[in-house]
Amino acid sequence: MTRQPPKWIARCPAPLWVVVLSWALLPWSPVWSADAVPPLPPPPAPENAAQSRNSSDYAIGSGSLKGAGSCSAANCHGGVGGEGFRARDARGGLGERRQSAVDSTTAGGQSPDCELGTEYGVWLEKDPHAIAFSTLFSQRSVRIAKKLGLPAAHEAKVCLACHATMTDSELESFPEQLSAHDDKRLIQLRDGVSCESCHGAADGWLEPHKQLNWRTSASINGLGFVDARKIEVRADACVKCHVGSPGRDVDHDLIAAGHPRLYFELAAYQAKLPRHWSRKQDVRLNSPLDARLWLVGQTVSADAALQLLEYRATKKPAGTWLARSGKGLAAGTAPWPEFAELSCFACHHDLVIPSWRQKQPFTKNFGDAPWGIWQYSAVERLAGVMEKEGSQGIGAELAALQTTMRQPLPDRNLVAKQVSVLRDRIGGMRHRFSSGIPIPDDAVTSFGIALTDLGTQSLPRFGGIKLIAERAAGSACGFRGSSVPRVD
Amino acid sequence: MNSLLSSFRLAHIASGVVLFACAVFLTNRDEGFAQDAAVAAPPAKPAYKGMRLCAQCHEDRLESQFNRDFCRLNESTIFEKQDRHFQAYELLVNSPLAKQMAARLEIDLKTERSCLNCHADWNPDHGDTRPPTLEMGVNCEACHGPSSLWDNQHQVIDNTWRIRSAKEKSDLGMWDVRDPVRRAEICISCHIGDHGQQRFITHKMYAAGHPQLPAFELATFERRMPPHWRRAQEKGDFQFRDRYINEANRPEFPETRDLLIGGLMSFRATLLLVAGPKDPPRALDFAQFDCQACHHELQSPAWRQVRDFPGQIGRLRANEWSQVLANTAQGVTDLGQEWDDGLKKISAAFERSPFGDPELLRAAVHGKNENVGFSQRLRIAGDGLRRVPLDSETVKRFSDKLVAVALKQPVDYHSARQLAWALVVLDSESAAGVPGGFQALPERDAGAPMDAAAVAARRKVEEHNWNQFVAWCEGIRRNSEEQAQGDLKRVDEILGLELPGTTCALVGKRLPDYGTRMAERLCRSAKYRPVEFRDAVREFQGRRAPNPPKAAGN
Repeated sequence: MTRQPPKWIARCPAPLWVVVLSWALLPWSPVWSADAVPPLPPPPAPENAAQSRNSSDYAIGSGSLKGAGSCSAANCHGGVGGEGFRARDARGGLGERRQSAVDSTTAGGQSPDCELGTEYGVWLEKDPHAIAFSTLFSQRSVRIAKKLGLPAAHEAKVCLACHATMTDSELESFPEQLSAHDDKRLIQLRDGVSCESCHGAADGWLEPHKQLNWRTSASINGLGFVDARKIEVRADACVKCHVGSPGRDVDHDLIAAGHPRLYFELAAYQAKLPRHWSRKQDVRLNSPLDARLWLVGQTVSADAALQLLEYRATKKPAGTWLARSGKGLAAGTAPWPEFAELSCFACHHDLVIPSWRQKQPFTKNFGDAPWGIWQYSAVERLAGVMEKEGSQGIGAELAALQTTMRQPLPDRNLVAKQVSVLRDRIGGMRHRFSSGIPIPDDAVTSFGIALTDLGTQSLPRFGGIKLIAERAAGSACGFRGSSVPRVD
Repeated sequence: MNSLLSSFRLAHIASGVVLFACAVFLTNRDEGFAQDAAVAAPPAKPAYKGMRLCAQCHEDRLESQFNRDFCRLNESTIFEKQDRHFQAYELLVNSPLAKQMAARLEIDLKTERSCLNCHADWNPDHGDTRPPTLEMGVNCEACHGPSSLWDNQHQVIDNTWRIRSAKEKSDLGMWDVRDPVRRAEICISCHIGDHGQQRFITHKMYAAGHPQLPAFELATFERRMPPHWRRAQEKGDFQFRDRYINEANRPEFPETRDLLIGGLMSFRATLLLVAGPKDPPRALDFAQFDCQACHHELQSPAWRQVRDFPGQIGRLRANEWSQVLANTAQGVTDLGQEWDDGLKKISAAFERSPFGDPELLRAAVHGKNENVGFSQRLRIAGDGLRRVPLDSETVKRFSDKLVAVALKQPVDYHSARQLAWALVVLDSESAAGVPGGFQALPERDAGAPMDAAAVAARRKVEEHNWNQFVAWCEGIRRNSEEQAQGDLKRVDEILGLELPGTTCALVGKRLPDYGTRMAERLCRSAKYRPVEFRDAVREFQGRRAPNPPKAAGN
């Protein structure tokens, strides 16, 4: 027997039906389902200096690593994608995902989204992080190791610290020189920079994250899972190696042996990364995405660079790998001053006349050590804007540190002290740009304007040029006063 | 009354203490110590009197009352008209580059001691508030020593001054420039630098525009100076000749000897520069190190990367060039194992910290309290080289050794220049031989006044001898120029072996355009590729090597 629908239903006009139905079906819509995640909560404001600094002490957990293999099951993140590929969606339901169709035309010529469920494959096939370890077998790496007197790059802690997945606690206890027969470790290391480098050591959360309530569960904190959706957290993971951190230090000895110098800008680097996440979700959670990426990237890089400076000045242990270099050296003290802190090209240029360098307006500091070129110039401008908004600037603190670092032999302890003051200030800036805290359009505009004269005021050095180029890239991705990225 | 008594008693006790001290001193003294004590308390401190005083006699005047059998007596004329040292002060205050530097550094060139210490005749040791002959640049006393105490004595008519010992003279302030070790030291104090005399171009000065000092090579730089001297062997038949000559250095191959001693002393100066003085710890300055260690374009592949780098990579080091000739020179000295040990210690100090561990460096260079330090040892070894016999075989061996160094592995621009200069000196001195053709001076009746004819005859011989010497100098110069145009042409094209002040022509008051020269030289240094240099040296070697069958036939 069939029942007639109630008369009130039949009386409703058709448009209303559409509205009601779409409302009801919204959560299951294939396009929108990824957005059904609640917006990110704003991070707690730092209460004191120490906390503001600790907030950047990103840790991938002290738990043990499970390896990329633990993520790569075909039904989890190791799907192959393609026509007819169905993966388990985020909420446990099965839904055909065609994110790439939606997101492939996003701004900035960025790589298209992958299909969810194929993350492992994208990383393995396209992501250079996956070959971080095998790079250590390249000709260049062999040459570097030889120059440093290391038996082999792929067995040396100084290389593996970044070229393999390693938790901080593991890094601490890692031997300077890996035994060639340490197969267990090598199996783990050969994944290169894999899933857990950014998402956290999975021992504590591998099982829980397969549960249906994973996304909504409030108890995931403390399991070691890293919420890479938050940009500042993501940035922390990157800068560990791309700027450097205690124990992961591309110093002048390494550079002189042939390792490339590190430069980093979050927005540009992320745009280059083969994406294994949804840009659409990223835009929604972190709007204005590209501007925020750039802003967070600058502050987090500056903070990491400062932390590294402090480490180099006061905490870095003597180079034990140097002692073994076969040149009969005793283990020296850690190198200080650290030339990698300085602008490469301030010293490294042929002495010629005429030279464009000499046409620059001279400062009074002839021949001083040129410290802090790329890491801090943008942050200084940003702080200037924020000063107008009422927060504390960093100009005086930065200038003080600069004065110290300009000396041929800066006072280590004074450096550490000044770094600490500066990091407190930058901690505040970092919070200001964090995911979940709104950045209005006009703020984006004023930050953008504050930077435009970087390139025109004085002839920029190489680090500065790179920075400006990268800012231009940021500008192409929505830094033009609009917080809405083009999705056409 | 009481106080008077007590003060009397005090005086008594004091005098007793003094007497006792004297007794202890006298019983304990040894020869050297007594001499040193005499040096430490000269009757007065020698002071600078200025070039005009010297010119009164040493200027070219026919009616000079002195004999010219010993020295030329036209030294100040030559110096004033031909020698660029004379222009050092003018260059400082008048050249556009110096003015630019002054503006940048906000200094007054006319009073800035750090400039005047090298650009004027001004030794800060002697406490002059203002050098008397500022306008005359680096002149007589800059090399011969402050003259206030010996000016009168050295004029004595009986010529006994010339047989006084070098020690005695230098105690009075007349430095022994006949000793190549001392001479090298004097040149080097400005041409490389000397912390002790506050002659040091800081990195700030370089950054503000001061030209980079060319790598120093004693023999070559001496050749570039218009000669106002004669070596002892080349002088006329002067009074006390035998006693004078006996004290001098071995006569053969003076330039080769200078080359070796200069090499050793340059290396020593470089070490003293990086280690700083013994007592106050060094004030760190980038200019203490090798400029090109940092100042090179970053490129890959690069010759700097493929060569063997001694020690820890990525660290600063002392000037590379200074070790090239020193390494050859030490082989003739008695240094032996000490050389290797010294280098090892210095190298270890450099590997320990980016600027070299200051304590280790100081210990390695100056030695511990009781030891003779490495730097002192190098000086003693240099002194020994004055008396090492040299023959053309040995000289040939040196130059073969240098060629081998050039061919072995890539060397930097300044080292290459050292090698090339040395090859020119060694080869052209061998070719030129010993100066000769001197005539004996006519006999002279001591005490009796000479008549005009005798004076004229004497002058004629002197003139002849002088011309012989100048011709010999010119011969060497021509020889090396021919070499630069011939066998070493390619090397010269690559390196630019010329130095400012090379020409013997009258320069008068005109300032050379150092700005353009500097630009040329820097450009050459930037364009320098060691592979080209190596090929050029190989070519040179091929041409120079005698054809074995032909040599056998001869």
